[in-house]
Amino acid sequence: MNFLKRKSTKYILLALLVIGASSAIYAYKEYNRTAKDIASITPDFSISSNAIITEFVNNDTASVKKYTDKALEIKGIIKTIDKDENGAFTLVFSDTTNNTSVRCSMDSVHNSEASILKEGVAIQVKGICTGFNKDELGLGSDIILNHTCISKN
Amino acid sequence: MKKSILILAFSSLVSISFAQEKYFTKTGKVSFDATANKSPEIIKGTNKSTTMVLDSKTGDMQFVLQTKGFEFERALMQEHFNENYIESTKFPKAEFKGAITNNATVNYTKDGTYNVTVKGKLTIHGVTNDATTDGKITVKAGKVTAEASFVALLADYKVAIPTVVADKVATSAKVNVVCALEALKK
Repeated sequence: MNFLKRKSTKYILLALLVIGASSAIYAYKEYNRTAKDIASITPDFSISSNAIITEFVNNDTASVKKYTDKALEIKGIIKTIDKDENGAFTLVFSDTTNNTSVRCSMDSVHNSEASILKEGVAIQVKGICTGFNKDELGLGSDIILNHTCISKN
Repeated sequence: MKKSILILAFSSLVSISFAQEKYFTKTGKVSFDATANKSPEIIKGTNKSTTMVLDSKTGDMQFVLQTKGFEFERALMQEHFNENYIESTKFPKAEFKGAITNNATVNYTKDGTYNVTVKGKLTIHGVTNDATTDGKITVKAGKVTAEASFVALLADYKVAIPTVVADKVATSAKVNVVCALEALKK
Protein backbone atom coordinates (compact mmCIF):
# COMPACT_ATOMS: atom_id res chain seq x y z
CA MET A 1 0.00 0.00 0.00
CA ASN A 2 2.80 2.36 1.01
CA PHE A 3 4.68 1.37 -2.09
CA LEU A 4 1.68 2.38 -4.27
CA LYS A 5 1.33 5.67 -2.41
CA ARG A 6 5.02 6.44 -2.88
CA LYS A 7 4.77 5.55 -6.55
CA SER A 8 1.77 7.78 -7.19
CA THR A 9 3.43 10.68 -5.29
CA LYS A 10 6.43 10.23 -7.57
CA TYR A 11 4.19 10.42 -10.66
CA ILE A 12 2.40 13.52 -9.36
CA LEU A 13 5.73 15.23 -8.68
CA LEU A 14 6.98 14.24 -12.11
CA ALA A 15 3.80 15.56 -13.76
CA LEU A 16 4.10 18.84 -11.80
CA LEU A 17 7.73 19.14 -12.87
CA VAL A 18 6.82 18.59 -16.53
CA ILE A 19 3.94 21.11 -16.31
CA GLY A 20 6.19 23.62 -14.53
CA ALA A 21 9.00 23.25 -17.06
CA SER A 22 6.60 23.45 -20.04
CA SER A 23 4.96 26.58 -18.60
CA ALA A 24 8.37 28.21 -18.05
CA ILE A 25 9.49 27.40 -21.62
CA TYR A 26 6.17 28.66 -23.02
CA ALA A 27 6.37 31.89 -20.96
CA TYR A 28 9.98 32.47 -22.04
CA LYS A 29 9.16 31.91 -25.72
CA GLU A 30 6.01 34.03 -25.54
CA TYR A 31 7.87 36.87 -23.79
CA ASN A 32 10.60 36.92 -26.44
CA ARG A 33 8.27 36.37 -29.40
CA THR A 34 8.90 38.80 -32.25
CA ALA A 35 6.57 39.66 -35.12
CA LYS A 36 6.36 36.85 -37.70
CA ASP A 37 8.18 37.43 -40.96
CA ILE A 38 5.52 38.72 -43.35
CA ALA A 39 6.96 36.59 -46.16
CA SER A 40 5.90 33.41 -44.32
CA ILE A 41 2.34 34.58 -43.55
CA THR A 42 -0.57 33.34 -45.67
CA PRO A 43 -2.64 36.39 -46.65
CA ASP A 44 -6.19 36.70 -45.33
CA PHE A 45 -7.22 38.63 -48.44
CA SER A 46 -5.78 38.91 -51.92
CA ILE A 47 -7.16 41.92 -53.76
CA SER A 48 -6.24 44.56 -56.34
CA SER A 49 -5.35 48.05 -55.12
CA ASN A 50 -8.23 49.57 -57.11
CA ALA A 51 -10.77 47.11 -55.65
CA ILE A 52 -9.73 47.72 -52.03
CA ILE A 53 -9.70 51.50 -52.59
CA THR A 54 -13.26 51.28 -53.97
CA GLU A 55 -14.34 49.28 -50.90
CA PHE A 56 -12.91 51.88 -48.52
CA VAL A 57 -14.39 54.77 -50.51
CA ASN A 58 -17.83 53.14 -50.50
CA ASN A 59 -17.83 52.19 -46.81
CA ASP A 60 -14.74 52.97 -44.77
CA THR A 61 -16.24 51.84 -41.42
CA ALA A 62 -17.04 48.33 -42.70
CA SER A 63 -13.72 48.14 -44.56
CA VAL A 64 -11.68 49.14 -41.49
CA LYS A 65 -13.44 46.38 -39.54
CA LYS A 66 -12.87 43.86 -42.33
CA TYR A 67 -9.22 44.56 -43.12
CA THR A 68 -7.47 46.03 -40.05
CA ASP A 69 -4.95 43.63 -38.46
CA LYS A 70 -5.27 41.30 -41.47
CA ALA A 71 -2.50 40.20 -43.80
CA LEU A 72 -3.31 41.59 -47.25
CA GLU A 73 -1.88 40.74 -50.62
CA ILE A 74 -2.28 43.77 -52.87
CA LYS A 75 -1.89 43.69 -56.64
CA GLY A 76 -1.49 46.97 -58.48
CA ILE A 77 0.65 49.44 -60.36
CA ILE A 78 3.10 51.43 -58.28
CA LYS A 79 2.21 55.10 -58.49
CA THR A 80 5.08 56.44 -56.39
CA ILE A 81 7.97 55.12 -54.36
CA ASP A 82 8.75 57.25 -51.30
CA LYS A 83 12.14 56.97 -49.66
CA ASP A 84 12.53 58.64 -46.29
CA GLU A 85 15.64 60.20 -44.74
CA ASN A 86 16.61 56.81 -43.24
CA GLY A 87 16.29 54.97 -46.55
CA ALA A 88 12.98 53.28 -45.66
CA PHE A 89 10.71 52.75 -48.67
CA THR A 90 6.95 53.20 -48.92
CA LEU A 91 5.16 51.96 -52.04
CA VAL A 92 2.05 53.89 -53.02
CA PHE A 93 -0.84 52.53 -55.09
CA SER A 94 -3.61 54.89 -56.21
CA ASP A 95 -6.49 54.75 -58.58
CA THR A 96 -7.23 57.51 -61.03
CA THR A 97 -10.81 58.23 -59.99
CA ASN A 98 -10.43 59.40 -56.41
CA ASN A 99 -7.99 60.82 -53.93
CA THR A 100 -7.33 57.59 -52.04
CA SER A 101 -4.17 55.47 -51.93
CA VAL A 102 -2.80 52.30 -50.46
CA ARG A 103 0.48 53.16 -48.69
CA CYS A 104 2.69 50.16 -48.00
CA SER A 105 5.69 50.80 -45.77
CA MET A 106 8.33 48.15 -46.28
CA ASP A 107 9.32 45.81 -43.46
CA SER A 108 12.87 46.61 -42.33
CA VAL A 109 13.99 43.05 -43.20
CA HIS A 110 12.56 43.34 -46.72
CA ASN A 111 13.27 47.05 -47.32
CA SER A 112 16.05 46.46 -49.85
CA GLU A 113 13.60 44.56 -52.10
CA ALA A 114 12.04 47.93 -52.96
CA SER A 115 15.28 49.53 -54.10
CA ILE A 116 15.10 47.90 -57.54
CA LEU A 117 11.44 48.79 -58.18
CA LYS A 118 10.27 51.42 -60.63
CA GLU A 119 7.18 53.58 -60.61
CA GLY A 120 4.47 52.50 -63.09
CA VAL A 121 5.31 48.82 -62.77
CA ALA A 122 2.75 46.12 -61.87
CA ILE A 123 3.58 44.33 -58.64
CA GLN A 124 2.17 42.20 -55.85
CA VAL A 125 2.97 43.00 -52.22
CA LYS A 126 2.00 41.55 -48.85
CA GLY A 127 1.59 43.51 -45.61
CA ILE A 128 -0.44 44.00 -42.45
CA CYS A 129 -3.25 46.56 -42.60
CA THR A 130 -2.97 48.92 -39.62
CA GLY A 131 -5.88 51.22 -40.47
CA PHE A 132 -7.25 53.97 -42.63
CA ASN A 133 -6.30 57.64 -42.53
CA LYS A 134 -9.42 59.41 -43.72
CA ASP A 135 -8.69 62.66 -45.50
CA GLU A 136 -8.82 65.30 -42.78
CA LEU A 137 -5.76 67.29 -43.78
CA GLY A 138 -6.48 67.79 -47.48
CA LEU A 139 -3.85 65.24 -48.50
CA GLY A 140 -6.16 62.42 -49.59
CA SER A 141 -7.14 59.26 -47.72
CA ASP A 142 -4.76 56.37 -47.15
CA ILE A 143 -5.13 52.67 -46.44
CA ILE A 144 -2.04 51.87 -44.38
CA LEU A 145 -0.04 48.65 -44.70
CA ASN A 146 2.95 47.96 -42.47
CA HIS A 147 5.63 45.24 -42.59
CA THR A 148 5.32 45.00 -46.36
CA CYS A 149 7.31 42.61 -48.53
CA ILE A 150 7.26 41.98 -52.27
CA SER A 151 5.36 38.78 -53.01
CA LYS A 152 5.57 38.92 -56.81
CA ASN A 153 7.67 41.22 -58.95
CA MET B 1 12.77 101.89 -64.22
CA LYS B 2 9.88 99.87 -65.62
CA LYS B 3 12.09 96.77 -65.55
CA SER B 4 13.03 97.34 -61.87
CA ILE B 5 9.39 97.70 -60.88
CA LEU B 6 8.56 94.48 -62.73
CA ILE B 7 11.42 92.62 -61.02
CA LEU B 8 10.32 93.98 -57.63
CA ALA B 9 6.71 92.97 -58.27
CA PHE B 10 7.80 89.48 -59.36
CA SER B 11 10.04 89.06 -56.28
CA SER B 12 7.16 90.08 -54.02
CA LEU B 13 4.90 87.55 -55.70
CA VAL B 14 7.49 84.79 -55.28
CA SER B 15 8.02 85.61 -51.60
CA ILE B 16 4.24 85.69 -51.00
CA SER B 17 3.81 82.29 -52.66
CA PHE B 18 6.69 80.87 -50.55
CA ALA B 19 5.16 82.36 -47.41
CA GLN B 20 1.85 80.69 -48.19
CA GLU B 21 3.41 77.32 -48.78
CA LYS B 22 2.25 74.30 -46.87
CA TYR B 23 4.56 71.42 -45.98
CA PHE B 24 3.57 67.85 -45.36
CA THR B 25 4.70 64.26 -44.87
CA LYS B 26 3.03 60.89 -44.72
CA THR B 27 6.11 59.15 -43.38
CA GLY B 28 6.61 61.09 -40.15
CA LYS B 29 8.13 59.29 -37.16
CA VAL B 30 6.57 59.33 -33.72
CA SER B 31 8.20 57.21 -31.05
CA PHE B 32 7.64 56.88 -27.34
CA ASP B 33 9.53 55.39 -24.44
CA ALA B 34 7.54 54.34 -21.37
CA THR B 35 10.28 52.32 -19.66
CA ALA B 36 10.06 52.50 -15.89
CA ASN B 37 13.11 53.64 -13.92
CA LYS B 38 15.61 50.82 -13.39
CA SER B 39 13.55 48.40 -15.48
CA PRO B 40 15.72 46.18 -17.69
CA GLU B 41 12.83 45.85 -20.13
CA ILE B 42 12.65 48.62 -22.73
CA ILE B 43 9.07 49.69 -23.50
CA LYS B 44 9.52 51.53 -26.76
CA GLY B 45 7.30 51.86 -29.83
CA THR B 46 7.75 53.63 -33.16
CA ASN B 47 5.21 54.74 -35.75
CA LYS B 48 6.67 55.48 -39.17
CA SER B 49 3.45 56.36 -41.01
CA THR B 50 2.46 59.62 -39.36
CA THR B 51 0.78 62.23 -41.55
CA MET B 52 1.60 65.83 -40.77
CA VAL B 53 0.77 69.20 -42.32
CA LEU B 54 2.41 72.50 -41.45
CA ASP B 55 1.19 75.83 -42.75
CA SER B 56 4.27 78.03 -42.89
CA LYS B 57 2.20 81.19 -43.15
CA THR B 58 0.09 80.71 -40.01
CA GLY B 59 2.20 78.16 -38.11
CA ASP B 60 -0.82 75.86 -37.88
CA MET B 61 0.20 72.24 -37.63
CA GLN B 62 -1.61 68.97 -37.35
CA PHE B 63 -0.53 65.38 -37.24
CA VAL B 64 -2.44 62.16 -37.15
CA LEU B 65 -1.36 58.53 -36.80
CA GLN B 66 -2.94 55.11 -36.56
CA THR B 67 -2.05 53.64 -33.15
CA LYS B 68 -1.92 50.14 -34.62
CA GLY B 69 1.02 51.37 -36.66
CA PHE B 70 3.32 51.41 -33.61
CA GLU B 71 5.98 48.74 -33.87
CA PHE B 72 7.72 47.16 -30.89
CA GLU B 73 10.69 44.90 -30.45
CA ARG B 74 8.50 42.18 -28.96
CA ALA B 75 5.17 41.06 -30.42
CA LEU B 76 3.65 40.54 -26.97
CA MET B 77 4.42 44.15 -26.04
CA GLN B 78 2.70 45.34 -29.20
CA GLU B 79 -0.37 43.21 -28.43
CA HIS B 80 -0.60 44.53 -24.86
CA PHE B 81 -0.18 48.11 -26.11
CA ASN B 82 -3.01 47.74 -28.64
CA GLU B 83 -5.38 45.57 -26.62
CA ASN B 84 -4.94 46.62 -22.99
CA TYR B 85 -3.44 50.09 -22.82
CA ILE B 86 -4.32 52.18 -25.88
CA GLU B 87 -7.31 50.04 -26.96
CA SER B 88 -6.48 50.65 -30.61
CA THR B 89 -9.65 49.08 -32.00
CA LYS B 90 -11.81 51.47 -29.96
CA PHE B 91 -9.50 54.49 -30.37
CA PRO B 92 -7.66 53.88 -33.66
CA LYS B 93 -5.92 57.22 -34.01
CA ALA B 94 -3.90 59.74 -32.05
CA GLU B 95 -3.68 63.31 -33.23
CA PHE B 96 -2.37 66.76 -32.50
CA LYS B 97 -3.92 70.02 -33.67
CA GLY B 98 -2.17 73.23 -32.82
CA ALA B 99 0.17 75.95 -33.94
CA ILE B 100 3.67 77.32 -33.57
CA THR B 101 3.21 80.31 -31.27
CA ASN B 102 6.37 82.08 -32.47
CA ASN B 103 6.01 81.24 -36.16
CA ALA B 104 7.07 84.76 -37.17
CA THR B 105 10.61 83.94 -36.01
CA VAL B 106 10.93 81.09 -38.52
CA ASN B 107 12.20 81.94 -41.99
CA TYR B 108 11.09 79.01 -44.13
CA THR B 109 13.10 80.27 -47.08
CA LYS B 110 16.42 80.54 -45.24
CA ASP B 111 18.54 77.62 -44.07
CA GLY B 112 18.82 77.40 -40.30
CA THR B 113 17.51 75.85 -37.10
CA TYR B 114 14.73 77.72 -35.38
CA ASN B 115 13.57 77.07 -31.81
CA VAL B 116 9.80 77.08 -31.61
CA THR B 117 7.02 76.62 -29.09
CA VAL B 118 4.05 74.56 -30.14
CA LYS B 119 0.69 74.80 -28.42
CA GLY B 120 -2.42 72.80 -29.16
CA LYS B 121 -4.60 69.85 -28.31
CA LEU B 122 -3.30 66.30 -28.15
CA THR B 123 -5.69 63.38 -28.40
CA ILE B 124 -4.60 59.93 -27.26
CA HIS B 125 -6.83 57.03 -26.22
CA GLY B 126 -9.90 59.16 -27.01
CA VAL B 127 -8.90 61.81 -24.43
CA THR B 128 -8.00 65.36 -25.53
CA ASN B 129 -5.73 67.56 -23.44
CA ASP B 130 -4.03 70.90 -23.91
CA ALA B 131 -0.37 70.43 -24.77
CA THR B 132 2.54 72.84 -25.02
CA THR B 133 6.06 71.85 -25.97
CA ASP B 134 9.32 73.24 -27.26
CA GLY B 135 10.54 72.01 -30.60
CA LYS B 136 12.64 73.03 -33.53
CA ILE B 137 12.17 73.68 -37.21
CA THR B 138 15.17 73.00 -39.41
CA VAL B 139 15.28 74.46 -42.91
CA LYS B 140 17.88 72.99 -45.22
CA ALA B 141 17.96 73.24 -48.99
CA GLY B 142 14.20 73.74 -49.26
CA LYS B 143 13.44 70.83 -46.93
CA VAL B 144 11.76 71.52 -43.62
CA THR B 145 12.08 69.19 -40.63
CA ALA B 146 9.86 69.56 -37.59
CA GLU B 147 11.03 67.99 -34.33
CA ALA B 148 9.63 67.96 -30.82
CA SER B 149 10.01 65.96 -27.62
CA PHE B 150 7.62 66.03 -24.73
CA VAL B 151 6.38 63.97 -21.82
CA ALA B 152 2.80 62.69 -21.69
CA LEU B 153 1.40 61.49 -18.38
CA LEU B 154 -0.47 58.25 -19.05
CA ALA B 155 -3.08 59.02 -16.38
CA ASP B 156 -3.97 62.25 -18.21
CA TYR B 157 -5.05 60.11 -21.15
CA LYS B 158 -6.80 57.49 -18.99
CA VAL B 159 -4.22 54.82 -19.84
CA ALA B 160 -4.22 52.47 -16.87
CA ILE B 161 -1.12 50.43 -16.05
CA PRO B 162 -1.85 47.23 -14.08
CA THR B 163 0.09 47.02 -10.80
CA VAL B 164 1.61 43.71 -11.90
CA VAL B 165 3.69 45.54 -14.57
CA ALA B 166 4.11 48.84 -12.70
CA ASP B 167 7.81 48.10 -12.18
CA LYS B 168 8.30 47.87 -15.95
CA VAL B 169 5.95 50.49 -17.43
CA ALA B 170 6.45 54.12 -16.39
CA THR B 171 3.58 56.43 -15.45
CA SER B 172 4.58 58.77 -18.26
CA ALA B 173 5.84 58.38 -21.82
CA LYS B 174 8.63 60.37 -23.43
CA VAL B 175 7.33 61.17 -26.90
CA ASN B 176 9.59 62.11 -29.78
CA VAL B 177 8.31 63.52 -33.09
CA VAL B 178 10.48 63.85 -36.22
CA CYS B 179 8.79 64.83 -39.46
CA ALA B 180 10.83 65.53 -42.59
CA LEU B 181 8.40 67.65 -44.60
CA GLU B 182 8.19 68.56 -48.24
CA ALA B 183 6.41 71.42 -49.95
CA LEU B 184 2.81 70.67 -50.82
CA LYS B 185 2.33 71.22 -54.53
CA LYS B 186 -1.18 72.10 -55.58
